[in-house]
Amino acid sequence: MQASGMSMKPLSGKELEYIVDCISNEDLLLKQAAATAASQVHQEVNHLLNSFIQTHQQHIHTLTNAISQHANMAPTQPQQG
Amino acid sequence: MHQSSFMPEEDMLYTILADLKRTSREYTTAVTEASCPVVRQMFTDLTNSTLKLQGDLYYLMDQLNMYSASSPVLKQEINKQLQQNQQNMQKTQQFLQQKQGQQHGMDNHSNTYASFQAQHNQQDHHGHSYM
Repeated sequence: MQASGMSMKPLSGKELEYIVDCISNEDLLLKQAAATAASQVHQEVNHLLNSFIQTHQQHIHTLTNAISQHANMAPTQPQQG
Repeated sequence: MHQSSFMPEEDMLYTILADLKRTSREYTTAVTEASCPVVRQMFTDLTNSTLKLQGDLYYLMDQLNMYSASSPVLKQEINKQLQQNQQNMQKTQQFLQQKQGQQHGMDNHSNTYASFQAQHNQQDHHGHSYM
């Protein structure tokens, strides 16, 4: 999901926390969608929730990739400021 | 009406809807807090994607009569708000002109932005805004 022409900056502590929190949110939404789709629901609800499961999986993949991409440029010693 | 083994379908969908709303808000906050442009763009895309999920679920629940939106507001209330907004905009316009006048007293530039804003606001009053 890296936009062309954008330069990557090292990840701040705050950004990492947001990414990790967002992965938790996506994980919860994924489980909720799966549990609800597995119970007796309207057919159109079932279809929608199954598409949600795929989207949440993509979101988790995107967020996890963002952490990996930034790992290479992260400093190994604490920085000032 | 279908019944689920764990909780009524309606309640489970409402819980998902509420969590999608919360997650959208958290993504929006993350956009505003991001310093890396790549991370900001990622959070922006995830905000839009999550808002789409929330909208899709809401419309389906609405179709299935599982969600009751609040009742329509009365015309009088809309007109009252429009009137108040118009008065407020006039005050803001005066403030803007005053401040821009002060600026231009210093740099002698023409007041193009204020006249553009005035035209734009006038169009809004007669145009398609407030729909």
